[in-house]
Amino acid sequence: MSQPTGGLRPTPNADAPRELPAWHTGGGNNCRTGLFTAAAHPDPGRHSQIPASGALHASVVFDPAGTAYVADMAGGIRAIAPDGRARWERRLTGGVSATPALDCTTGRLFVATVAGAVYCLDAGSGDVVWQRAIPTASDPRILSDLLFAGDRVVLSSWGGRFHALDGTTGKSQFDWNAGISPRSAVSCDSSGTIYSARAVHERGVELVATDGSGAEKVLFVEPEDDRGARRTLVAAAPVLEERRSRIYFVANRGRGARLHAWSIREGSLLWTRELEASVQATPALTAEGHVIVCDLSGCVSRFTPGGEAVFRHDLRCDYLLAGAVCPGTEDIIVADPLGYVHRIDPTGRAARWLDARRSFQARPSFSPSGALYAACTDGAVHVVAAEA
Amino acid sequence: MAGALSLAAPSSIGAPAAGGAQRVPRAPTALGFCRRYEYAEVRDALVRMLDQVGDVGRLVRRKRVLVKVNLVNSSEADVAGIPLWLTVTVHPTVAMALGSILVARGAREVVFCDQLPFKPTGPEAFEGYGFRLAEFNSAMDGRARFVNTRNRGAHRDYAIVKVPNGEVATAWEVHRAYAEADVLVSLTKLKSHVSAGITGTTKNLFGVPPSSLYGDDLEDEPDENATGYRSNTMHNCTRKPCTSVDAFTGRTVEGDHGYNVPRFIVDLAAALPIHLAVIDGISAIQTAEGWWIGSMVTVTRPGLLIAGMNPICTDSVAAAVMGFDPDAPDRTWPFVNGSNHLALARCRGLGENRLDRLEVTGLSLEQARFQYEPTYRRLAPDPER
Repeated sequence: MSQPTGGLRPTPNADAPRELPAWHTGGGNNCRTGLFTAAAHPDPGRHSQIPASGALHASVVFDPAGTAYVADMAGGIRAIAPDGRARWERRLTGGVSATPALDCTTGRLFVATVAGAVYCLDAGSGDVVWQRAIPTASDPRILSDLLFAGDRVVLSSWGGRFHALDGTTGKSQFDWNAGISPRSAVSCDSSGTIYSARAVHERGVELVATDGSGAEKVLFVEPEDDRGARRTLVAAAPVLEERRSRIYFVANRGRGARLHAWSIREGSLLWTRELEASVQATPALTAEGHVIVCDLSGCVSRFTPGGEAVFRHDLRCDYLLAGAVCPGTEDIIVADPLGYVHRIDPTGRAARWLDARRSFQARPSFSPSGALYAACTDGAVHVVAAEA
Repeated sequence: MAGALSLAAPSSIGAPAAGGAQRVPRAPTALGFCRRYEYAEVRDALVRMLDQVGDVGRLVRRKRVLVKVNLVNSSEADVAGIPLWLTVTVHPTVAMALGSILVARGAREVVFCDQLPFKPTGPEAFEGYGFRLAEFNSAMDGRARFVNTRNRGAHRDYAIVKVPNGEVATAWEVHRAYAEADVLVSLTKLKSHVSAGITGTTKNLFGVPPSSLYGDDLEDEPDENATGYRSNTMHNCTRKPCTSVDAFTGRTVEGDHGYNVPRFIVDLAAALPIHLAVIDGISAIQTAEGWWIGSMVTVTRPGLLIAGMNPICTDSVAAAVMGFDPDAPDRTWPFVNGSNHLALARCRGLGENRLDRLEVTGLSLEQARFQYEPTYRRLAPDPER
């Protein structure tokens, strides 16, 4: 075990804002909104690639200086400087499907593998600070995007538990029921309350709030459908919109799904919309609070904050595995399993931006400068630089 | 397989196996990108790839070709709403494109077979999987036929196919279509498999022994109406099949599917030599083989087709594409629940599975590589769950 020694390491500051501008976790922030906080203007004419050592299922995360952290299914972890140079590279045992989380304050990168291990790496050097195997009697794989909040790393494993680990030591702080075959990430508000979704036998899909002591409260239950919880995919994370004190979450039912808007303040459901297809990808929020849902029929749907449908656009790509991101304008960006990146305007008109020729299964990311980083299963990150 | 032996695939004989006792056949495997199930795109890719693996025209000209397709024990299911052909089963477009190429290369007839859990034994049994005979015949000059091989069909009896040096089976009783074909093609999906590690073109043969003799829904005698799976006879091995001859050796382990299934696969592959192996890896699932595994399986999209003339070589390349060592020790990934059937097959002289001795054409392995989440480890129930 060593202490972080890397070049990031801004001075620790207890008063630092919790949401740094860097896209430091899956969906950019702990609310999982997929929203870039400034207006990004990627220029599809300025396309380059960063090679990885395997197919990319995890999104790229960034530190505030623009260093990109890339984790692949061959177990390769790379830190790439904004100019494209590799700062370090490390190979872990087991591929990485879950998007890592970065602690921008102390310069630690948290990574978890399909072999069931969690690593804390020094983001400046790639050295292992600590590592921990998640206990399970069966399959330990970790598929949920990681979360870092309040010196706590949160993830789930197929042992069926969410785990909150101490970010400094890796020791367990608390754990709670993650349901059947968990792969959904948790999200976290600025008070430290963690929101998670899980499939529970004979109950259905539950939306759960967990406080800093590990005490959980079931907020809402979408009742089990005819197929049973064992066949219900729970992969999309709850999405928080703190300014409206809301949680958006998707509960799959049969071949369709329901999009729920939950009021944290009022502790009640605001509205529910039936979706024609099931959903694997975490929804996104636009700057004006519209909800964007990519579904498993290949359609992108947009809803107003009041739940009115704006459009449902079929990208004709069989299904969508990765969620949309919003560049801070009213456009949205979607990467599809045919290998195309699309820009969709507020009316639902789509334009192809990029053709990687192999599937995108991870949600794209934005660098601090507003460049789009799309992690692709072709073993490369496709970078669309911001307009000059 | 009348005539099949004289049409042995143009495999070369590889280097002696460890110890020099046995020479292992091998043949090149072609890898090709194909991003969607668009007929012309799939067909073009397959034409290129089949040209890269050998003389398919010589193999099929004026011959009756049987294509064992990888369908499963339901056509009603889906994976989180995504249809079976994008996840679990061979997409009909791939089957039709392959069939049209085989016809164009001179095949007299192409019979698509699998045993399906429906009473009809003709084309209507295939419709739920998106296989429509009229469309196939339109693309194949009327030379396509669909046969549900869950029983003996219109034949008076079954064919008995012997297993050379069988370990767990010395013979199989199968629908006569398998014995009357000149050429056997195995067309499967690029998937993980809980008992076999990966679903390959050899694992696909598990669908050959008919439910009417091997099914779980049999009492103590054959039943032409049976549609059950073969779990009790060929996975857990808690009972013997209702075949006319006692062909199971008893050298299985009751309850250990990870031990039994790989050995049955090898005994099927030894009895029913596959001349052309094709894998649909355009869109598939990872972690396990079917919708019945529940939310453990998820859709993934390698955007690949794989083809070769030795099924063990082809399946081994497929395993490597998925990010696994095709010669991995038993009880390690991807064979985490049991034995490595590819290694067992090499030891039986069926084909090469060691990566450094395999020839890959078209794309390189590095270009095609698409790591899957590994097969899940099936142990005792986790007390935490």
